[in-house]
This record gives sequence, structure tokens and C-alpha cells, in this order.
Amino acid sequence: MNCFAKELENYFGHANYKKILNCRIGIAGAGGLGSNCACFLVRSGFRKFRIYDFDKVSYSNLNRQFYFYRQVGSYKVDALKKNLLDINPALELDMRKELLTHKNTDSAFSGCDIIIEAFDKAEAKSMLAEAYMNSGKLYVSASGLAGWGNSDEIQIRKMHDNFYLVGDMVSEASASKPPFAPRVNIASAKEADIALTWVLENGKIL
Amino acid sequence: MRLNLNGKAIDLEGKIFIAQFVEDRKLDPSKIVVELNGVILENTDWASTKLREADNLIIVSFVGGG
Repeated sequence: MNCFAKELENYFGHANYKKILNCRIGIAGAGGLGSNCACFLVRSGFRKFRIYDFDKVSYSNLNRQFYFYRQVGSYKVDALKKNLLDINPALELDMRKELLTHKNTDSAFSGCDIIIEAFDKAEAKSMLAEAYMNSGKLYVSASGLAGWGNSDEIQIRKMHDNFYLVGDMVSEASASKPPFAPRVNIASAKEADIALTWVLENGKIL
Repeated sequence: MRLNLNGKAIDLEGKIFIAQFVEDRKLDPSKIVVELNGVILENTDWASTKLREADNLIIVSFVGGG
């Protein structure tokens, strides 16, 4: 157990920390939502992850994603792996440079207890929800987080047993309304908190 | 007839299939997920699935950004 793990165990107590250590989290996308959510979950003690993203870090990502100037041009999963290990070197990271499509989505998260949807496109969010919102796993998705202001509108809705949706449901990202760090981080932090609460409270969130 | 849409009661008249319901509400089929009475319906089943009294319909509509 490293020094950080000892402090995490002090925060949580042995029984609760064990629950967190045993949980495997799948994250679909390592952009604004996924990279930040992964950071929050690692800081919260989670150790096992499977993260999908096929994209590379660009300068336009630095306004909200958990990457650094020097990492522009790197694959997001490679850069994120390094950044997460910088927080806690004792992680079990299964980073996959794959595009999730209708063909591979159903099997993409086998063995994961929790799935965090962190895609950019609405069509991809819909595809993943279709596969996992009724799967028995905890499924957390986000919709409506672009722009700035009215951040109290970014709420958590329980859509279904084990399916929670975070966002204001209407603020779509576009050229005139790009996503920015504060609202994206609020949404990704809420996704992370839902996962943490679900694990610690035995499935009770709202 | 009365049914539940996302937990709220709504009233509909006549026979309505899911595909028509989605079109009437101007929802983009590629950006929504439809669950009827606990079962997720694939897009290809919408045209042949009729809404009935007391159905529990959940339609999740997504917008882009992440």
C-alpha cells in the first residue's frame, strides 16, 4: 500500500475503501467529461479502469480537458494514463485506442461494475445508453453542459434503476456555444460523485 | 388513453405507434433512447410498437458536448 492509499484508507475506513478498491470503472471517452471524471475518481481512491478513446490531444482541448500543453499530439489514452499515474502510481489501467460503435459496444465493458458515458456526440450517447441503461450495471451519462452560467441547472436525474443522467438537458455544444472548463467539470464531477456514492451507499444515490 | 412519459402522466388520442409519437414530438431518432415498460426498444421496432393505456414510456433525449 503506497502513502496515498494509506491516506485514502484513513479517509474512508477499511471496509469502505475495500469497496472502492474492488470496483472496476469503464469510461467511454477521454475528452472533457472522461478525462476529468477519471481524475476525480482516481483522487477518490478508485484503482481499476477501462477507458476508451481513439483521439489525440489538441490545443482546442486544453480549455477543459485534463491534459497539458506538452501533451498535444499524444493519444488521449496515453496522456491520461500518465496523468492518472502521476496522482496514484498503483492503478490498474486498461486504456484502449478504439472507436466504440454498434459492433463493439455491447462487449466493450464486460467485467466493469460502473460505466461512465463521456462522449461528445449525442448519437454516441444514445448508442451507449441503449446498450447499458438497463444492463444492471450502474450507468451514468451526461447531456447539456456547453457554455457558461446557470450552472445550478446542471442537475442529476434518476432515469431508471441504476441509470442517472447529469446535465441541464438543453445546452448543446456548437461553434457559438463551446464547452468550457467550469460547466464541463461540474458535470464530470457529478458523474464521479454518483459513482462514489453508489459504491459507498450500496446503490442508493438520490 | 393515459400513459406515463418519463414519470409524468400524458393523454393521447387514438392509436399511436412509437415512430409516430417520436415524429410528432420532433425528436431526432438518432439522439434518443426509447424504453417501454422496462424494455429498450430498438429503432427498427418503433414503427410496429403501439402505445397502450397505462404504458410506462421513457424517452431520453441527448444533446452533444463533452
